[in-house]
Amino acid sequence: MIPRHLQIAFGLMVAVLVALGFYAMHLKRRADAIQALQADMRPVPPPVSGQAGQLKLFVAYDDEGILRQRDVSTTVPSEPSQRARQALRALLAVYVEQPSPHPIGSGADVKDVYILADNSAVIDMNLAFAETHRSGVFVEQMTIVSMLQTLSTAAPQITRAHILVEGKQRETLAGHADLSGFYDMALINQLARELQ
Amino acid sequence: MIPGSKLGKGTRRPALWPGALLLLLCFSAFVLLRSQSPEKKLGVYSPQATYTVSIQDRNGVEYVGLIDLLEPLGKVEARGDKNWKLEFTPTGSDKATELEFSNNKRKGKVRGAQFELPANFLLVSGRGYVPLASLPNLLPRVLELTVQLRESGHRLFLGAVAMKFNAQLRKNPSRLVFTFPAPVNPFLASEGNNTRIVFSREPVVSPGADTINYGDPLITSTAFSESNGAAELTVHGSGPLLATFSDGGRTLTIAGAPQQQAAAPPPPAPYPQTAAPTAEPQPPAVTQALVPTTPRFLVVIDPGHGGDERGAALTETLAEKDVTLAFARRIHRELETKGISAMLIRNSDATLTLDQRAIAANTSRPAVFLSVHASTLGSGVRVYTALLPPVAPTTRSAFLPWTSAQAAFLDSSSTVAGSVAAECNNRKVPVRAIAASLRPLNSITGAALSIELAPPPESNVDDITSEKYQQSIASAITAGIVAVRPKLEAAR
Repeated sequence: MIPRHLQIAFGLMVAVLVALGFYAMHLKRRADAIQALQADMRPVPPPVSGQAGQLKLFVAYDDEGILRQRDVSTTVPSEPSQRARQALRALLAVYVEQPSPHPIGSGADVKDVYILADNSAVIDMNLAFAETHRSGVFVEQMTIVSMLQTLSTAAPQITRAHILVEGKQRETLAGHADLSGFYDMALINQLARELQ
Repeated sequence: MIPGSKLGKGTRRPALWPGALLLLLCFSAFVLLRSQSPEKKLGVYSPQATYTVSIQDRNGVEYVGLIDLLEPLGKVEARGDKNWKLEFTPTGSDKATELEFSNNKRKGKVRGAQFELPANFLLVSGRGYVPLASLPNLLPRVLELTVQLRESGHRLFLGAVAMKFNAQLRKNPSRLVFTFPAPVNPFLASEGNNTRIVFSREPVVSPGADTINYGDPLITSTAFSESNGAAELTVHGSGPLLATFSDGGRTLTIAGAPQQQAAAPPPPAPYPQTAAPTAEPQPPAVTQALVPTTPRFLVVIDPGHGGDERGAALTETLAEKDVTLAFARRIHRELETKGISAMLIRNSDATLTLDQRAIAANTSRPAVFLSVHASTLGSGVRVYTALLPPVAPTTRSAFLPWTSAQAAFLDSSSTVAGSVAAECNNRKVPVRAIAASLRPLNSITGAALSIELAPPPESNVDDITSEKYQQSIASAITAGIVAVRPKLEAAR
């Protein structure tokens, strides 16, 4: 017969073991998330290939609450999805510079842009883009409209676009703007005109 | 080795029951947590506002949050960790009352005088909670009003707001006539031969006995009860009953359905496929009249975020979820003052998913849905309608896609947004109306807009909580809705 105090001690030790297991798991997840964010704090890489040219960006200005068109000289790839990614990277570069007309997190980056056969586009952003984005209806909306309008200008054949974060669908950008579905580019074009 | 024990002999396997017990405890805790009863709430009726406050059970005692309770009645400022202080200034007054309590202590101070609670004061995440039973003694010192708490029914009356009704049975034909001192808009439902009348917004109380037997062949008795912040009147009948309102909502008449009164052959059923008569036929006309109803013109207000989801950090200490709730309550009061029924999706610091908000709103069949947000960017107000391709009302089908149901109602939404923006302009509040892709806005089946409150022009961020500023915008929103009400009603 095992004495009662040993049984109780054993039970408590099992409980402590389970709790410590959960805590260790929590710490590991947190460390992984921090590492992922730190890994993204890197300069925007240059395009692989292409000719020198100009890209049209639609830059959000928070103070005035408007979008302004800006031409930037850069290398312009001929392949549409690479061109679209290059345009979005150029836009994010404007947003991360100091002072910024529409600040976003310094590690924000476009991982890839895919243009599908039905002219739908899927933009894959990194985690830092969403996790460090300011929260608010207007500020999130301005980011999305400026990105999609820039995308639409770089690749006019795109009829709708979906923004993913680290390859996964996300409910909202930072608590407000919907990221759960496709954006109709005709509506984005119209909204961008209203915001200019 | 312990003499007499079998330890160390290696003849017995280690006991497995401590582990099994632990698993059983975990399972029991899981089952208990999963099977919690519905949220308890306190219905509060005051001359300024009618609202509900969540009730929390702690150590077998029912608690309510002081901030939740007092915020709809005036300006509330709370501070402190160990010694928690709350300063309350009633609306329309500049005389502040200070309350001071300490966590897990019964004794505190109200207006500098000692006050003892019937159970310990609780402080959770900077919000103070007092026992429900303490309110009849505590609130008169704060509000300088008579306070009546109906503890079992979870109803709190601040001032002389209780509304007694009069019930009179009339003959030939038998009908029960309820008269109320003010218009009422209860929820009606039929269950067999009984009619349930639920008052969740009106301070209706029983005029005398809770149960009255009439001895009438059709209407046998009525029973009045109160529970979870609402009052319920049940009319028991021996056959199907029909409820009708008259006198601008001041009179409610319960009478037998037409088929019960007519001795001759029943009228032809409008839906032959449902006609198979049973022992207790439910004629379509009567069933339709007693189907649960919602107010004809209801504004549903959704204060954004809440609970674990704090929204934007407007300042180091000010979370968006708190501003949206306070502002939504202001809009709610303003609408009720103008005679428009309004409902808050959340009236406490509760966590709700975007889909839960859309479901709650659509179930209420709102004439207008308002989603409330706050931001430090820019100034004034931004009014958003859904960024969806419009669908002509004629092409609406019985089923709408969940993620774009709002598309069929964009015309109505734009009408309300335009009217609200115009009223803001009239009050010199900077306003901007644009489209945005937001949830739950995209899933709402009715006119829907999102309001984003920003600080007043040329002021600091803290002024976003200014009572005067929020009130002027709440008035503008209300005036905007009132102006288009006839148009929306016609469209419905």
